[in-house]
Parts: sequence; structure tokens; C-alpha cells
Amino acid sequence: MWTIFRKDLAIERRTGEILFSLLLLALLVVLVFAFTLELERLREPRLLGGLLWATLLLAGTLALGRSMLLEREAGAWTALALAPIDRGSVFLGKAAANLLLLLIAAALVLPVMAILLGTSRLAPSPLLGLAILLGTTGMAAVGTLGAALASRTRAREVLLPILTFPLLVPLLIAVARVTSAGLVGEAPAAVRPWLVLLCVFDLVFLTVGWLTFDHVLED
Amino acid sequence: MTAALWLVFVVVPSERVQGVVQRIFYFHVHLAWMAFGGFVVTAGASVAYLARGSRVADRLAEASAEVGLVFTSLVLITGPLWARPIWGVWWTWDPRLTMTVVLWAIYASYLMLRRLGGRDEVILRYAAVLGVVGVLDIPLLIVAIRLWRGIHPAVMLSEDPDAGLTDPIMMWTFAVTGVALALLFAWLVALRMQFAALDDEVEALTAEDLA
Amino acid sequence: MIAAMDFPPVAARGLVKGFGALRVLAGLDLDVLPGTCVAIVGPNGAGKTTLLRLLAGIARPTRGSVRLFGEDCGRNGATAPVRARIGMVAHEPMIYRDLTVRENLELFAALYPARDAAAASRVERAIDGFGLGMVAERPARTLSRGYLQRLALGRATLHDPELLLLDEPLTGLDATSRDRAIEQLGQHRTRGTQILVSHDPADLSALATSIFALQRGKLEQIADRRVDETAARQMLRALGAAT
Repeated sequence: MWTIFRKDLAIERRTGEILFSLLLLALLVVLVFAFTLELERLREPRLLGGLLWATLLLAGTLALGRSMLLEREAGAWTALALAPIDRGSVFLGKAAANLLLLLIAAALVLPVMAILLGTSRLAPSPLLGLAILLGTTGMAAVGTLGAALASRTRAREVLLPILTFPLLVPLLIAVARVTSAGLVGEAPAAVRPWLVLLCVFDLVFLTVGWLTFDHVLED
Repeated sequence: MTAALWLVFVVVPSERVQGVVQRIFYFHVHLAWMAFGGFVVTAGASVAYLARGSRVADRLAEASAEVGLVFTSLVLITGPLWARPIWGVWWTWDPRLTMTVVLWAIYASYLMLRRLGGRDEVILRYAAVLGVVGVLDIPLLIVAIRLWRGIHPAVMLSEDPDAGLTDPIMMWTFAVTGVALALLFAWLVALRMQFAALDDEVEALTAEDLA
Repeated sequence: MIAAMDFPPVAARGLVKGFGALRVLAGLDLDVLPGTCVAIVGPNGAGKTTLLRLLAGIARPTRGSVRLFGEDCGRNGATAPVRARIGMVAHEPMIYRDLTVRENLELFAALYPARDAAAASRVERAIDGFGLGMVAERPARTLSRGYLQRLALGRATLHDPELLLLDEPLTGLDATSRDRAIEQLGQHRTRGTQILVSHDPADLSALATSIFALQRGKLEQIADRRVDETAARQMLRALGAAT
């Protein structure tokens, strides 16, 4: 698992292309929000949580598709299928690498969003960090699995969001609430059911990805 | 048999509570249940396919998903037709409506993967994985949507079809349409599976001719 | 390894593989004995690559069985212990273009459990063996076709596989590196088994110890010993598979 994780990071360190395009895309999405929605309303801190996840979803999906493309580009995917390793750990390794990218992106995008949209009355609490960690974990798990499933088809760029968005609905509903709560400094107790839901979601999809990758890593 | 039940359905509903549109409810509720059931069938067949690799299981999964998508679509069409005169709006983010629309999207994505991927065995396995993943998403979805609408209670959550169904004739109609639609669902799935089996056979024969 | 002697490396029975309406393999049998290099020739699209993938345990037959080292790999593909004994050179180099030659080799060395003490230096051996020293620190993306092929060979033989599957392994190599690769593969054959797919009579005469023709989804043996280049060319021509 860590071999795959380190491999993905080594590639990313060399090219930087996934993180860079992820950040640029996220910034552009924020600009689109600013232009298309009423700026006065966007100041509302409770909105920032939802906007952050909409941004990450759009930008992150493309980044995850890109990371799977690296596997397919020169046939390395086949070599992984051939290697005597537990295929579930390939999933965990890739998901971990994707998680790290999404975390970095979230950490950079959120303050930029707050500044650009002029969000007022923010009172970030540790809950915010937890929300982002749980949200990106679920996104990485579903995204990694979805990217692998879509990568064999033509039109994989279109198929990836079509596969992942519906599956991510429960996560998005939950994480947007918890993030908003974290942004305005609400007590974690107020969003406990949401936190439980997020944990369960992450666990379910990490497990199912780990278990099914035996069937997915093959071509 | 199905035809007979269809007849019954056309003849029976002469009672009107909420006007003509109320009749749609006989379909609507059952369609929704069938659609949900179809999803479970798809997931079960997907597991069987992954475990044993039998083509029949795969065909069942696909057929059930296809008919499920049609039924879900019908739910989404009949729903607003009823809601407009009764609730005064076409659409509301009621838990059940939200649930149905997301389910519809998952079904659609499952079938899209199959269409775009071709008929390679690998894609069949990928689809099976998605079928399993999709059904696992449902409980999470239910909880999420319940919690979501629970925090901001919808104005018209008191949608209660059974309250109006006190009349025995209505109950009877309700039951009959349920059975009819269940049979219709099974029949369509069986038909679709037969079709897929024939399709495979044709391909096999063509291949032999070519060889 | 002694275990390798107990079971033939490859025993395929009644293999059928179809893609939709296309039936590529139509019930073929193949047995490969240890220490041989079995060449498979045939016209384009005859299913040679498909057959190789089935024998590698990474594709599944529509019908029939593939036994690798005595283990049935038809239904669920090869298990990890079996995969550890297989190496493959395919059309694609099967590497990461953004990693250097050394990083690629190190990555795959890490994915294959080391069997003995000599394994520690296997990355160095692959680099030396296939003349990759000059480009070891360059990203694979910048390599020429020939170097990429050498990297693919180095990667496939890194873990000293008992069964080596070679799909046109010598394409794009210049004369010197070609000789070097042939020598390396010859050495490998003293310890393991090879299955070769090639269109090139020179490759066939240099590597193959027997030749099978793949036509209309079936295999037929057309040579049971080494052949020279002229004879190989004639065989290919007869099959309509000459380059």
C-alpha cells in the first residue's frame, strides 16, 4: 500500500500537474460562483461550507481522473495487476495519495475562498478540520473507485462524475453541514449525527473499494 | 395474466377523493417500491456474478436495472402530475422525492457504464462492482436525506396516501395494482433477460460463421 | 526451483475467448515444458496477444482452463503466489512515464517479494543487464523507443520469473542491445520457461525452441526444434504473417 502511495507522490512531486490543475480549477470555480451568484449573499459564513464542497467536488473529480490516467498511459495498470500484491492495497494506496492531494487543495482553497468572497463573522473551530478530513476521505475513496471503473471506457472524463456524484450525495449533504458548523464555531454535539454518518460513509466505501479492487484491477 | 390485471385496473377506479389525479397514486406507490426492489435485485445478482461469473446473473442484474430505471422514471413523472394539483407545486425536496431522484441517477450511471464500456467481460465485472456499491449507498442516502429534511422540516411532509385509502374498494384496487405491477416488473425483467440471452446466442452463431 | 518441476508451467485446455461477436480463440490446447521457449506465430489479429494475456492470468477465458504451475487460473485469475512467478513484456512498456528508469525498477522490485539474498541487487542487475546505465536517472518519458523496450525487459525479468511471456520483446532495439537482450533471455531460459510472440524470423531463430501457429483460434505445432532464420521466414510466409 505505501509503495503505491509513495509512487503516486513521487510522480506528483516531479510533475506537480495534478495539484496545480486542481488548485487552478478550484480557483476558477470560485470565480464562477462570485460572478454568477449574488456577492452579498455569498458573505454568509454558513454558505461557505457548501461552496467549498461544490468547488472540491468539481475540481477534485477531474484531478482523480487524471491520476488514474497515469496508470493507464503506459500500461502500468497491467503491471500492477500482474504483480503479486494484494490488490486491495493498491486501492488504499491510491486513495491515500488522492486524499493527500484533496486535503492540500482544501487547506489552500478554503482561506482563498473566504477572502475572495469576503465571508464575514467566521469563527473556525477544530470541528472544521475534522469535517474536511472526513469529507476528503470519502471523496478520495469513491473517486478512486469510480476513476478505476470509468478508466476502461471511452468518454471516461464524462463517466467519472456521472458515477461518483450520485454516490457522493449522502457525503455532500453531511459534510456541508458539518463544515458550516465548524466555520461558525458551533458545538460538535449539534452535528453529532452528521459526524457519525460521515464516518460510516468513509468506512463503507474504503472497505468496499478494498474488497472489490480484486475485480477492478484487471484488464 | 398481466393483461387481465391491467383490465381490472382500468375498470375499477371509479372513486374520486382528490379528483382524477388521485388515481395515479395506485401506480405511483407501487412503481416506487418495485424500483427500489429492482435495485436490490441488481445488487444481489451483481454479487452472484462476481462470485460465480455466471452470465445469467449478469443478465438479471442488467435487466433489473433497466426496468428499474424505467419504473423510477415513471415515479418521477407520475409524482409531479399528482403533486401539482394536490400540493400546488411540481416538485418539493421531500425525503422520498429526493431519494428517488438520486436513485434514478445511480441507476442511470450504472447503465451508462455498461453502454460506454461495451460487452467486454471486464466491463461486466466493473458494472457488478458498481451495482454492489450503489446499493450500499442507499442506507447512507436514506439517513442523510432524513437528517437533512429533519433539520429544515418541509411544509408538506404530511404526505400520507394511506389516510385517504379507507374505502375497501380503494384498498382492493391498491392491492391489485400492486400485484399487477409486480408481475409487470418480473415479466419485463424476464423478457429483457431472454432478449439478452438471444443476443448472446446470435453473437455466438455469427462468430462461428466467421470462423 | 523444485516446485516448478512438479507441474508444467503452462497447461491450457479448450481455451475459448470471445469479445462480443468476435471469437478470437476457439478451444485451443497448449502445454509448455520447463526450460523451453515456445513461439507463437500467426497473422495480425489472430489472437496472439489475447492468448498471452490469458496465459499471464490477467484475462479470463470465456471457456476452458488455464493451469499455471498446476494452479487453475481460469475462473478468478492467478493468485498472488502464482503471479510472483510470472513476468511479462507486452506492447506497452507497463511503466510510469514520469518516474526515472531507476525509480520504475525500484518500484516494481518493491512489489515483488525478494526470494533470496541476490534480490537486493536486482535493480542494478537489470540496469547492467540491459544496458540502461546511461539513462538510469532519466524520466521514462524522455526515453527513445529502444531504451523503453529495454526498460520493459528489465522490469519483466527483475524478479527472475519462472515463466516469462514475451510479446515482440526485441522491437525497436539496435543490433548491440538486441544481442545483449538475446543473451539475457538465453540465460533466463536455463532457469525458466518462455512463451514468445513474434513476427520476426530473426527473433524466432534466436529465441524459440519450438514454434506454434495460431490460426482460426487453434494452435498447431509447425516446428519442434530450433529453426534457422530462412526456415522461420518461410513458415511465416506460409501463414501470411511475414513482416
